[in-house]
Amino acid sequence: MPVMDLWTAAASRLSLRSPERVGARMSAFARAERGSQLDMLVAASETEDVTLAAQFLRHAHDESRHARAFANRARELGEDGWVHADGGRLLRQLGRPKFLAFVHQGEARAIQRFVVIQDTLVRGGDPRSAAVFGALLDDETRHASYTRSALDQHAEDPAAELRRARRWSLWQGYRRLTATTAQGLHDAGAWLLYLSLFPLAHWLRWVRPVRSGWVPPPPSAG
Amino acid sequence: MIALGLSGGYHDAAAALLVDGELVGALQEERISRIKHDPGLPIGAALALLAQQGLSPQDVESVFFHEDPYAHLERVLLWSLRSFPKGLKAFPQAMRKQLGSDLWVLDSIAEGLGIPRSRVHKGEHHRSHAASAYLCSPFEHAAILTVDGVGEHHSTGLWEGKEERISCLGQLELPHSLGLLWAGVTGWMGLAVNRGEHEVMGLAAHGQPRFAQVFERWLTQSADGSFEVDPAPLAWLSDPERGFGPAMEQALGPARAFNARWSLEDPDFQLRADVAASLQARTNQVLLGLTQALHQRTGSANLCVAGGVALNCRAISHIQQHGPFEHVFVQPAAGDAGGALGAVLSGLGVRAPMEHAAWGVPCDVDRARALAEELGMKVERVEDPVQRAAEHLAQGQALAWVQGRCEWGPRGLGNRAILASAADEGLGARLSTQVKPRAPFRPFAPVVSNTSFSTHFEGAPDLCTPFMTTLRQSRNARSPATTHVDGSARVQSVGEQDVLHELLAAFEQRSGHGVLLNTSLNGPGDPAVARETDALAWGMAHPTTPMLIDDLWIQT
Repeated sequence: MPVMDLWTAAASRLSLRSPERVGARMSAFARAERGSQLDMLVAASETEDVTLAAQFLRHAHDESRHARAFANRARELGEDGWVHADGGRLLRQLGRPKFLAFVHQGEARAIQRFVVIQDTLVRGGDPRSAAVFGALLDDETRHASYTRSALDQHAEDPAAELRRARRWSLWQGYRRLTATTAQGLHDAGAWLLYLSLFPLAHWLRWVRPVRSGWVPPPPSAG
Repeated sequence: MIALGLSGGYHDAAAALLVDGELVGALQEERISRIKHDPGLPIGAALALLAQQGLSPQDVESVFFHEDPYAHLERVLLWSLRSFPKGLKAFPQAMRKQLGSDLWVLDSIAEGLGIPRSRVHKGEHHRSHAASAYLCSPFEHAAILTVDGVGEHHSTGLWEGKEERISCLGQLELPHSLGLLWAGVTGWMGLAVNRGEHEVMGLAAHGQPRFAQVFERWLTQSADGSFEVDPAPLAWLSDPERGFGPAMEQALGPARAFNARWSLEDPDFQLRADVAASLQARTNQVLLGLTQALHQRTGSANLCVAGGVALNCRAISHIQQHGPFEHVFVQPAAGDAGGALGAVLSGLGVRAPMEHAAWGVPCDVDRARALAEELGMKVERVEDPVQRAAEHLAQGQALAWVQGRCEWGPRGLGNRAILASAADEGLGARLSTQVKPRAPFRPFAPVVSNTSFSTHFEGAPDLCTPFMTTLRQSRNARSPATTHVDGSARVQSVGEQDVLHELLAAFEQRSGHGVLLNTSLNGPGDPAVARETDALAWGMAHPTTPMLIDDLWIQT
């Protein structure tokens, strides 16, 4: 078994060890699929090539279905089933060849992860959740396949684009990690700052009390 | 002179474009990004509007942002400290947002558009709202009421508009905010704050105001119209995502689970409906008090209303029926999106009376055809699209209707719509379960021509009915799918210049019924369709409903 698969299997065993955790994981996958749907929809609207735009639309349609499937299972497992995700203008940001390479790699990675997670869930006695992953594998395989064909068609050097996309993915991962670290440091600093401002809070209540009733406009206002 | 107005950073980001003082486009960012209520910066919407006019960002001479980011930061700091130590949990997140993005919003706009920072100007939240209502109205003199959650410091404003000038008469500061009270109750209902308020409004028709005394205690009003909100049941500072605190649960009962599915048979459904009815009734009273105060101070016969609370068509209808004003105007994007339009109109000091809502982007019909064929859909150009649509609707079928430019504001107003016969209750029920899933207590909206309006609804069309910003009582029981349990309907009226008028006439000729069900063209959780790709994506998800894009009949 490749190292990454071993790592995914170990991580999955940890993160899927109770129905609550499976539900939370399903919610996370629902958000990821929804985010991917938005990326593909925006990409379709920004792609002049009609054949490719239609493929992006089909892809978005599949991702929408996947998001619903994950959200429904998450709801069955006690999650709230709320799916809200941000999409990006990845196509505009990366350019067509690198975007195709990035999506292709994401889909190929998803196939590997889904197989491992499906296996973990079956072993853990949760065939219903495992079936959700199993039902999506054909779609993921099709997505990986068409993006690879499109990459070969639209990129001058597909291998170089795949390398660039991999570097970009790593860079994004690094940025996420540093952003999370920075956020933790910021929050700790902000809490300390907030607590240290305790005397100012009392002073503010005195100099800027809550006002009720109509506040007239400042003299300069029209 | 090419000028943009932009709003964003909180929810419903939008852009409005003026060329030589004329409004040429207005669009919410969600229609481009496909993120419902997109809170980001409306760069995509601005670029789409510019491209539509054959312009580039470098042609833009001035950009007006709808609020003042520095005053916004001041308010966040002020309230975080005032509420010490309750703000401990939310303070880091609030500061992350302020210092990470909001404070630099004017620079981000300049960077996003690739223009010098000196061309970007800040505005004032409630002045932008006031301008979005008054400067788009047909009035030369009007009283203006702005009501929302909060702008920089204020939640409510009384204003007077005379010709191009808008004067502030007085404002109410936080924590006295109708919008935040609604947000708290929305959270208690298990709905998403800043998204689910319209569902609370819809629920109100099913209830009795048996919690009136609770809301009279939480929301008190003085003789001068000003009101105070008891902050105790709310948690907008300590827990903004829920919006309510333990005091609300003590008074009203346990909160509903977030995003739980609604059922009219739920044992606690009536409790929720009664709470919604009580909040709605108190809101109606307070807004009426505000308009009476405003009338006394301005003496005008005309009223314009803006801000998120202005989208409460139940309250607007109450003001129309019981208030002192002869004419009331609420433009279709009365919430924060409208701030973009108000900011640029106010910045330039120009008027743009609004007679229709079709200010967004169009569908490219040739591309729609090519894409639909590529997707394997059946595509046919029809000789007479209106007659074909009328025939289909008269057979008791639903139709996705895509004509012209997409609408400005949250409502589908006949350019991106799912249409069906309003007389067919079974069809309405099928739509709400299979095509447009929604809470079972929410009816669809009807659309009717100006000429037959009074046959089906009480009163006559007015300045709000073209934009669906008010309610009317239905006169007959032939439109069950579009009539609420209390007999009200959020009706849209269309004039003779509108292609929908022609469709209504053709439909009536065939079916004997002149009212159509009209709901915005979108899937659950999605923004309304804007461009051809969105329309076809909707079509792929709803293969049994045909679609008419201009004169293209598409069947998936």
